[in-house]
Amino acid sequence: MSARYTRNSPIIVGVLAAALVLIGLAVPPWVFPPIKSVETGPAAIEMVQFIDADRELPYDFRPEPLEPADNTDSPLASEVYQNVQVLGELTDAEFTRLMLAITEWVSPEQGCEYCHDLTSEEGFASDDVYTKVVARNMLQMVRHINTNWPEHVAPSGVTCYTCHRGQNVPPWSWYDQNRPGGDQFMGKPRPWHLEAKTIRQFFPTVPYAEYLMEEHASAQIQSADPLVSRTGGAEVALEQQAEDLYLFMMQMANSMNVNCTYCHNSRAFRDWSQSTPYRWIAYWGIRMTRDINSNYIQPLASVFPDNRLGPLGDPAKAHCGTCHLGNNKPLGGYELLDHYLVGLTENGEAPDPAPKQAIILGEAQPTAVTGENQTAEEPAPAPVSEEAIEQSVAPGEGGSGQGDGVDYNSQEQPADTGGNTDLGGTVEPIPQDESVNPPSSEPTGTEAPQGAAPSQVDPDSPDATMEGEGTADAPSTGQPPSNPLPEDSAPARTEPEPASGEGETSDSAGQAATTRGPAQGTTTRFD
Amino acid sequence: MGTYSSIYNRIQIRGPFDPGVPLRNSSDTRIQTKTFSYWLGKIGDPQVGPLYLGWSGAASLAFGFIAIEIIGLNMWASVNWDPYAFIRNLAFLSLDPPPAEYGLNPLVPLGDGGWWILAGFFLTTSIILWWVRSYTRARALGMGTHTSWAFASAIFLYLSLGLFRPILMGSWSEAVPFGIITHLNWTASVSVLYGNWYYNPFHMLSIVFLYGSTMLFAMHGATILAVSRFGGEREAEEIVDRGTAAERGALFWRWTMGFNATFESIHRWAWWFAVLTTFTGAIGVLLTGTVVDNWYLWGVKHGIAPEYPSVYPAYPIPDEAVRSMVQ
Repeated sequence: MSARYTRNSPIIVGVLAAALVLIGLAVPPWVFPPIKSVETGPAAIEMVQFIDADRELPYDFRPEPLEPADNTDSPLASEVYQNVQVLGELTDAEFTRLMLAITEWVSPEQGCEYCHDLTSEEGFASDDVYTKVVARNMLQMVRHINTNWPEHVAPSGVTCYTCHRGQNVPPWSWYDQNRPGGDQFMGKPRPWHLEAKTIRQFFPTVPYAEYLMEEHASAQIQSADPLVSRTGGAEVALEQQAEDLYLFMMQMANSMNVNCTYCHNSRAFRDWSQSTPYRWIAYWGIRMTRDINSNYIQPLASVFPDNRLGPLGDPAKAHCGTCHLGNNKPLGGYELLDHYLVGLTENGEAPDPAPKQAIILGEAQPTAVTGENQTAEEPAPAPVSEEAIEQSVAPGEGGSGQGDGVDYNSQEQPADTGGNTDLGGTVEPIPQDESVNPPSSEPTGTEAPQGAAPSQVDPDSPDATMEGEGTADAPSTGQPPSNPLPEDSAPARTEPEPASGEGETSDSAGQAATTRGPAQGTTTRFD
Repeated sequence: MGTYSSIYNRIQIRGPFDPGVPLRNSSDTRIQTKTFSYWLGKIGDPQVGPLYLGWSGAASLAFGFIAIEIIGLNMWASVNWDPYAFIRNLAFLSLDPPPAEYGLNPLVPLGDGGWWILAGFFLTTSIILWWVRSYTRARALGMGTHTSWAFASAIFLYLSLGLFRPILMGSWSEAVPFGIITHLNWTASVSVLYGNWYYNPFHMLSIVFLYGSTMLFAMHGATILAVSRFGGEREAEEIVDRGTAAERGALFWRWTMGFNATFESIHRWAWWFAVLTTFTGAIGVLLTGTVVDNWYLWGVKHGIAPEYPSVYPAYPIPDEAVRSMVQ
């Protein structure tokens, strides 16, 4: 009776199933193991980053620095050339070397003539080509970044190549767009909606303009209060605001190939006391991007020709991915700037790593590694100081060897990542000149890191704001008293002295560790 | 009976067409479609018809059609009536509620959310009319109205999201957009906005009942299929006249779980779990933003959010990032 079906249907079902399995294996872009996982938070709460060892980042070529210039008897560039407005103090040899490097970084195909109109009577001095004006502005921007935003860019700093990667226009950027209305599809220029491949490409870029210009929206969207206020005042942002912030944060994660938990404990995004120190770096990165977008890129709107402008007439602006291009450290922290300090910084010094160092380095870093065959890839744990033990919390007695698959390596020294692009820092202290006085203005107003000098974070580093109390480029002194600033200097942490400095260090660390929880008021502000 | 004991269905019951019980006087006449479908028989009863429309069914279908048309045409218009773009981007297309500046004003320009209000009105009317139909049809067949009340619980959640909470909050913009990805974006954003919805105890309850429903469903379905060779598929009869199928199933669960439901009570377990999934969810929705602003901090206050060890030393927090400590 049913033999008619039982003979055919298993074959049909089998063929269909095999076809589905084949499609499933062949069509999606699979990522094959091993996939490395690195925890960025306390064990077992899954603050974890996944790294595919085989991933190939776009534009990841690292150019070799040019041979050092022979400056002996070389005249100043301003004496040799006309109309050298930014780099006139460089020697001719150094100046030529930098120009050659910039050509290699920005216009390797077009060469000098991409910016210089050599057919004109003025020759190299001519400002007729718009790219020359833009390049001068961008040079000032790079010098400004390297000297005034060490919180974000130290120690590698930035060069033209950080963004340009051998392209005339940095590959990743954004334009203004109108907020999509109810009767249109996200308001992006067509035909993006037929070309988008990933889910993020379907999202509008309105939030970039909202958060990456100096006129910016507030990112404080959550209430600091469990219950609705008795006065009925709104403490929670509108849902659209939350969605915009979400899209902006997705841009950030996408730019760095990390997920939310690189910086945040996702159960309480707003809470700094549960965030990782990487959030501190990102915080200043956002402010740096606002600074350069508003003060260096937007003013060029009148210089660019129409084909370089967006649909609303604005130049292509920077977001996190403009420099990062999928790497949590651009080019894996490749220190190209070190070879061009004279031209690409305002003071000839590499970005001061001290503020960052106090945040990231000389501290216990959680390096819980899960999964098989991952331990070999990890750097050997550095000697552990008492301070580090006190600050880190190891799961279980004895740490490794408990069969829980988790190793905690409390580190006193920065991990030697061997030049790879893994998480973690490789900051080394750089000797600073006490007489440095940056020529360009510090960020001010609401953009300025408020009311603090770098010395609050690292007392030994030179005061970058020589003549003022009003502005600074270091994190604030206005901490809640329960979250004291580290009293010891970063170099002292890196190389702890066994004698008097040690006691001071552990005091401050112990105090910090016991009181950091309520810093954001998550547990203490209920009446 | 033996054919029931495989994991998948291998038999189709083909008898003479069953016209069903006699209609009550208040009903319209049935539409006497009389066909059998081989493929429907693969997953259910192969008999198609007789059908019944009635006034509530006809009105519900009409209102529902209008709602889907409004949503679909708005989405299509948003890609300039390009059919390829419409299909390719269907998951991302959206019909959004009016922005916050309109408050609860029902008279919003069509392109600015007015279409969302209209679509919501027609969709809600359609759903409620379908509820009326589920109630009256159950009564017409002499059945209880259990299905209607379970459906009502789901409608309560739908209305809490799209109507009750926006009214309590005083703005249509609080409501969910129509759209596949966009309503998921809304869900993620609102969860973060109100301090992490996973600390909302009613969300927790809703998840418990949702997962519990699926587990009970699997347990019950498996038990009945497993004892069908002893006549277990006659569940309703064994409720009052317990046979060896019921006894074996009960013994199995006492052996494996230490406790067993009866052939009667298992259905009440499943019904209540299903009903409470959406009901507790709706309560959680209605409390958000009206009573509780930050569910994570609510959880901290009530001791349900554990503190984790800090693996990083304290570091200075930028001033601007910290909201005023004075409330």
